[in-house]
Formats: sequence, structure tokens, C-alpha cells
Amino acid sequence: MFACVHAPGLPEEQSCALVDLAFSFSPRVEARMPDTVLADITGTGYLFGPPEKAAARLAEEARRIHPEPRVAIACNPDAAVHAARSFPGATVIPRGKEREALGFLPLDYLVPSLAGIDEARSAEILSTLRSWGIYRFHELAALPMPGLAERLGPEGVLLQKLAQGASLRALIPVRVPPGFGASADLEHPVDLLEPLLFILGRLVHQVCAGLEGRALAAAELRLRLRLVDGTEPLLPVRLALPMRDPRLFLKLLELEIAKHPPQSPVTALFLFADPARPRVLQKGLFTPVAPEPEKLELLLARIAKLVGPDNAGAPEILDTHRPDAFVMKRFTVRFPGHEPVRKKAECSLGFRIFRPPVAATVDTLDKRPKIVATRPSKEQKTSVRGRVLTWAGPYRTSGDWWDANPWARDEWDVVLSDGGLYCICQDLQSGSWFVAGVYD
Amino acid sequence: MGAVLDKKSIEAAVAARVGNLFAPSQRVSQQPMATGIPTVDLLTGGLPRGCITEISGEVSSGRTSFVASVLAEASRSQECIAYIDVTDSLDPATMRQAGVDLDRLLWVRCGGKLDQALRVADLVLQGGGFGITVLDLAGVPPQWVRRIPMAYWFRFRRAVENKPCCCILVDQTPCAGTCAALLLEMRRDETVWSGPPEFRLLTSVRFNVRKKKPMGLQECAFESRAETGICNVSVTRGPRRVAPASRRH
Repeated sequence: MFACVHAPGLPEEQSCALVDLAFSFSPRVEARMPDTVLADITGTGYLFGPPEKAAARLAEEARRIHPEPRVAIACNPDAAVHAARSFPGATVIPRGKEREALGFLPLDYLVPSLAGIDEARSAEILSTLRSWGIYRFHELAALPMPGLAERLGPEGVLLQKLAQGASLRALIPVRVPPGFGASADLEHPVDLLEPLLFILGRLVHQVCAGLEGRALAAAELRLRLRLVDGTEPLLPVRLALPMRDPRLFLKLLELEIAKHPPQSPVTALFLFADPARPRVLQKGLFTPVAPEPEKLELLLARIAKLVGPDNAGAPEILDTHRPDAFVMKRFTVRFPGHEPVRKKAECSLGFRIFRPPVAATVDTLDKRPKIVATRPSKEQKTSVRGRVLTWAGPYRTSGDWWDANPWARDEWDVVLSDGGLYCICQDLQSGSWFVAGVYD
Repeated sequence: MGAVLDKKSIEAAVAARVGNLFAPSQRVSQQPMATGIPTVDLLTGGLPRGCITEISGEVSSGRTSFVASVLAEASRSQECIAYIDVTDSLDPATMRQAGVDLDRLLWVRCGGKLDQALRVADLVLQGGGFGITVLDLAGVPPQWVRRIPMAYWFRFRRAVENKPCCCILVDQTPCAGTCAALLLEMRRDETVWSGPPEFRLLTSVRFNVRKKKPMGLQECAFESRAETGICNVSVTRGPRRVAPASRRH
């Protein structure tokens, strides 16, 4: 049994209210037009009673949205739609009586989109039918099908089925994006981590159970805490890959709370998860060892707690000639697939950079460095001191002169008497010397 | 009730269920990791997996060039690499030039904090999954490194045992003691320059690698070219000393 509710002239922005109304009667709802919804109420006789009572109840509920709703119940979905759009009030069409009930409707009341026919083609067909003297549903329904098919094609046959109330199709249900969240109001404010995690664990399991029920995973978690002072800080946990492990989620949330501890006791918790399709991965037999994504996520969170979130990741070199230009991006595991094996590049001489560059005092002779010594300080652990035995340079490098932060320096490769092979530089803007790094 | 169970009676009682309880656990032999330098591979047979390899040497002794070559070889095999940088000295450009896939490199910058670096190393080794874990203590003064309790090295060794992971420790003086299965000492032999003095260029540096542990073939050398390639020079059998006077700066 199918129930159709039609609210003539309902604005499109209020159509969601109509959809919500239909969902309160059935979980399978089709909403192809903004002012009409169709619900599958098969098997709801014990809930809403016989079709007449169900139609009356639907009409009563629909009056909250529209002053004059039209409701129709029929065994055929398209017949229910035509009846709701054509007859005022509540209409119930018994099984087998669809053709008779819809027979006297004019062809203008036909809804070709239900059969998947576009407007232009349907207008053409209706014009042809009128030219034949066909004006009503029953006249179209009575035409012989082979002849109709020959003259009007398959669209004509589909329209005839609609007029007969005998079309066969499945409902196209509305997909409501699911939301996954859980909350807990605390009887007493909590200011310790252990009891907070105990309550949070219950919420996490609840959310994960909801995700598992829909065969989904979480791409991001958001924990909102309501504090005694009225503030509601939000703690997001972004996951590199969709996951659904409640123990991992609890650990990640614990690390996040430890990183950003609330300033006052907590009175309520709200946990939300953004759903995503779980990852599907087919590993090969001979793939090299790689960290599991769940374990890697936890490892990165623990490392970030120790050294800071910006100090752990994969380096990405920027497209510039500026020395030591790179950014840290999130480290993720790339499972080896069919990527080509990189040809081994010729190895270069290793270089260790001093960050920040070590300020140095350089005695020069004929504009060449003669003695290099770094200034000892509390921050500088690196000590470079010695006489220059061999040198190469200067080699000038500069850039970003069009920018607010240009650089220009002369570089020297020197061997010092302390045994090290260093790269020392003189900044051309300030004239100061520094040791950029050591070849190793 | 005063019966004392001896080892043989315990073994006999549980042998049928759990086998030999008191036999030492068998170490799973694993394929060693190539270093990318044929002479060093010949010297060492490759870096052993499931063990700690210690690379020590003074400044400019070739440790970073060697490690870059090993990491390049590992990323070529599509393994993940963890680099724990105590003094934040890693140069991504050098690594990329050496052939390291930076997307497979987890770089942890510890900002000079040795205790943080040791804790991070422990987390990474216990977590597993990385083909190579490098703990770079090269920039840490030796007196600080010597103060690291031996318990850390025992713990790290236990963490990598029987795992397909290679743990590389880079420092100025050896500190892991018996926990390191392979100890390589590196030294700079010769720096090669090219061109007249006014336009001199650093061309290559020749390094010497001495295997101090385990015993066997002792030394080899390799040459690392500035911004070009490594070419292998020689493998020597037995100890060989290079007189300081013959070194070219």
C-alpha cells in the first residue's frame, strides 16, 4: 500500500517538513516533487489501522504544514500520486479499482515524470492524443497497446500504464544523510580525566555502534565540552583514514584532551562523528612492512604530544631556490601498488644543517676566510673553531628580491683545522657571518 | 607437599602441551638490508634486521652520506622510514638528492631535547611497522650521549628483536655497547677539489668505514661525490692505517 500526500503550492523550502511527515509514517519515502511525497505503508495496518483511518490520520498531520492537503492511498504508487494530485481531501482506491477511480481524469492531470518521460516528449504525445480525440485517462487506457506502441513508441505505452494505474516500478527512497552523535549531561561537574574518560568511553562505543550498523567509518571526530564557566571548547580529531575502532578513538580523544585541557570542570559532553565509507584495501602477498593505519594514527598523536604537532611529519620541499625551504605535511602510509620503482639516484654528499644557523666570527685575509670561530652561547650547542686549511668560494646565491623577505649570501666550502668540512656564509645585507652546516 | 619440582620433571610434565620451556628462543633470520654502497655491503653483508646498527664518527666522517644511501635503498624498496632527529639537522634536499622518497619519511624534530628523542624512539620501535628507524645523535655532545642509561639500548634491542626492522644509531662515539650487533666507525680520508684556486669546487669526499663489530673483514672505503654519485673505491682485507701526512685536505 502506498500513501501520497500532496500540498498544492507548497514552497520548496518547506518540502523537508513534508518529507519528515512521511518519515513519521514509513521509513521508505519518495520525494520527486517538492509538493508531493509518497510513502510505502505496506504492513502498517496494525499501527495506523485500515487505509481509511491511515488516510484520515495523514491528512490531519498534514494540516499542520498546509491548510488543504490532499491524501490518497492505493496499491499502486503512481495511482496514489495521480489520485492525491487530482482529488481533494482523503481518497482510498481499493486494489484493482485504480483504472476505474482515475478514468475520468483529464489527460492534463497525467504526471509523465513518474514514467521517466521528459516534458517535451510528453507534450508531443499528449498533443497527438488530443488530435485523435483522446482527452481522458479511460480513453487512453482503452487504446490497443500494439497500435499505441507502433505510433507513439514506448513512451506512449508507459503513459497508458499510468492512465490505467498499472505501472510497475520501485520506489526511489530519499536518502537522509545520517548523523552520528552522542551526548551526556553530567550530574556533577567533573574535573578529573579518569572519570571523564569513563563517560566518554560510553559515548564512543555508542557512536561506533551506530557507524557499524550502517557499515560506515568515521573520518573526523569532534568532542565538545560544556564547562562550568559557560564556554564550550571544541576538540577536533582528524583521521588520516576512515576508522571505526572505539579503543583507538578513546585514546586519541584522551591525548587531545591532555593537549588542550579544559580550564574549568566539565558539565556535559557532546561527541560527533563525520561518517565516511570505510577503506577497502587489497594487500599483496609480497608487500613490504608498513605501520597499520590505526597504530600509526595513535603513534603520531603520541609523538605530537611529546614534540608538538608541527615537528613530526613528512617534509615537502618547496619550489623555490631559498635554502632550507620546506614544509611539514602529515605523514601517511602509501600502500605500494602499481607505482613505478624509482630508479636509484646517484647519492650526494650528505649535509647537516644547523638550525638556526650558527653565528660566527670570521677573520678574513684578501677577502677570504682565514679563521672561523663560533660565539659560544647558552643556546648554541655547536662549537666550530679552527683555521681554514682549504676553501672554495665565494659562490653567491640570492633570491626573492621582489618580495618583502629577500635573501642574498656568499657561500664558502671550507676545511678547518678541527677536521670538519663546513659551509660558511656571509649575509650580504647585514655583512654577518654564520655557519650554515657541515658536510658529513 | 614438600616435593620440590626440578627442571626435568617440569619439562616432562609440559612437553606434550607447550614444548621445551627452557630452550632459548630461536632468533628468526631475516634478509639483511642493503646499504646501496657495494663495498660496504661486501664488508658487512648488509645491515642486519632485528638488530641495532651503530654508526659512529667525528664531524664530516661520512655518517650522513652513508645513512642517506641506506634510506634511499629502503625507500626504493617502498619501506617506511622513521628519522628521529635530536638536533634538527636533517636536510630534506640532501635526502631527496640521495634518492629518498620523502613521502615515506617520518621526520621527528626533537629540538635538541635528548629525553624526548629517546621516548619518541621507544614509541616508534614498540609500535613497529617501519623498515628503518634512525636515531640521529650525531649533533649531541658525546658527554651527554654517554650519560644515556644502558637500559635504553637494551630496551631498543628488545623492541626490534625478531622484527623486520633495522634500527640505526648515529653518534660521535660508540655508546650502545653490546646492544649493537654491528658497529661501523667512519672517518674522512680525503677531500677532492677541482679547478683553479679562484674557481675551486668541492668535487668529492672519500670516506673510510671500519667494521669494529662483529669481527671479520675490517675496512673499506667509498667516495661520495658532491651532488653526483657514490663510486666505490676499494675493499681492504684486514686492518689498514692511513698515515695522517698522506691525507689531502
